[in-house]
Amino acid sequence: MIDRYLIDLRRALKEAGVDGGAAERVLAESRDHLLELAGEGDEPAAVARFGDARALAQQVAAQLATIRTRRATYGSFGALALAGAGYVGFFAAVNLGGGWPDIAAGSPAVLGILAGIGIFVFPQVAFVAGCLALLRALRLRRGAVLPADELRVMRSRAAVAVGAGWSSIACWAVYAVVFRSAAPLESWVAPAILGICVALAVPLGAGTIAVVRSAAPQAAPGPAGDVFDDFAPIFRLAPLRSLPQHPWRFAALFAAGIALVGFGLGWTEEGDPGSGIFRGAFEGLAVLICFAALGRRLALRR
Amino acid sequence: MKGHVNLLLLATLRRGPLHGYAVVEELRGTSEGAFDLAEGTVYPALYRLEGAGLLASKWTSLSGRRRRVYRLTGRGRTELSRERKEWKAFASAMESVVT
Repeated sequence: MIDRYLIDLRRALKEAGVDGGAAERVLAESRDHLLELAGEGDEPAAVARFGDARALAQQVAAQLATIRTRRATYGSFGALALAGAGYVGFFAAVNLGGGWPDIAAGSPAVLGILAGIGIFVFPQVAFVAGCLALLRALRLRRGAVLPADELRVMRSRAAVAVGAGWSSIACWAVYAVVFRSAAPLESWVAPAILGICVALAVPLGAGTIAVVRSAAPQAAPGPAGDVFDDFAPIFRLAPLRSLPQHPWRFAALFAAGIALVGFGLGWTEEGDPGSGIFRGAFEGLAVLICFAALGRRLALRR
Repeated sequence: MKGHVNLLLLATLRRGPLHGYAVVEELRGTSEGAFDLAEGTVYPALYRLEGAGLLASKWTSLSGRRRRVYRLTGRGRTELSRERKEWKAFASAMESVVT
């Protein structure tokens, strides 16, 4: 009877997305527990007291889904923090190695321009998505079992962040290759950047695996909040109270704020307001495009 | 009991490491039968507490049988202390209202 129960439990765990070491642990602990229970009486009574195999498998899966998704979120944020250090290293290598070549001076030029754009866009996407994932994980850290939709939001945000991290290092690698012979870059810059990319592939790979693994166990059904729940204290302030009902108004305001910052940075760095306007417009438009493309996935809008 | 499973399990493990079956038996015995956890459901709760860093566990062997034994971590003791204070405050407040 106990052996039959354990076969049923193994099947139920597999159906609930729990396999490998996690399933073996549940089965070993259940077997030990059932044998102790049966020692006091008969096996049918022990199995009846232990509980329904399917229900137990679903509880374990829901628990495992929450644990793995939290760990994947924290882990991927850690990997992205390292990528952020790599980003600083990339900029340091170029600045110390002669300075920035003309963006059209790469070979081929089109790849150089695309890589140049990606170098600025993808790290920002990674940073925002990673912060949003971390914020939700921290906001819900006391929840015992999180509903499926909440876990899906956390996983999506972590996945977008890690994906943007991979895109970032891909753009750095392409930049290093395309501009390796472009003046004024010195010859050591390209190998240094490629070395940074190879080193960062390890933590990003670990983060990717963690995010993928977290999707397997079935979570308990249930809804998720959105970005307005993540920043609830801010959206309770009077001027912002209506924004949750108008997510595109929120996006427009946010894009305008980012555009203003971009304008300021562009003007300061290049010394002329025209560069500032160009950079501000580019940054603001990038925010709106990302909101449109990734808004639902990142739970920025319903 | 549903909302206080964490406190009950942490308190049960405060005296020393136990495996799942022993946790259920200890809880039943200490509460004189008032808290009678459904046997299998103790494991998801133990996994949750372990995932939160409040418990640690390791495999042992008994007569050729693998047994997982759980113990409180330092964080678990801190959390137990915090939840006990919350419970005492809650129980005191309830006492004031209902008596």
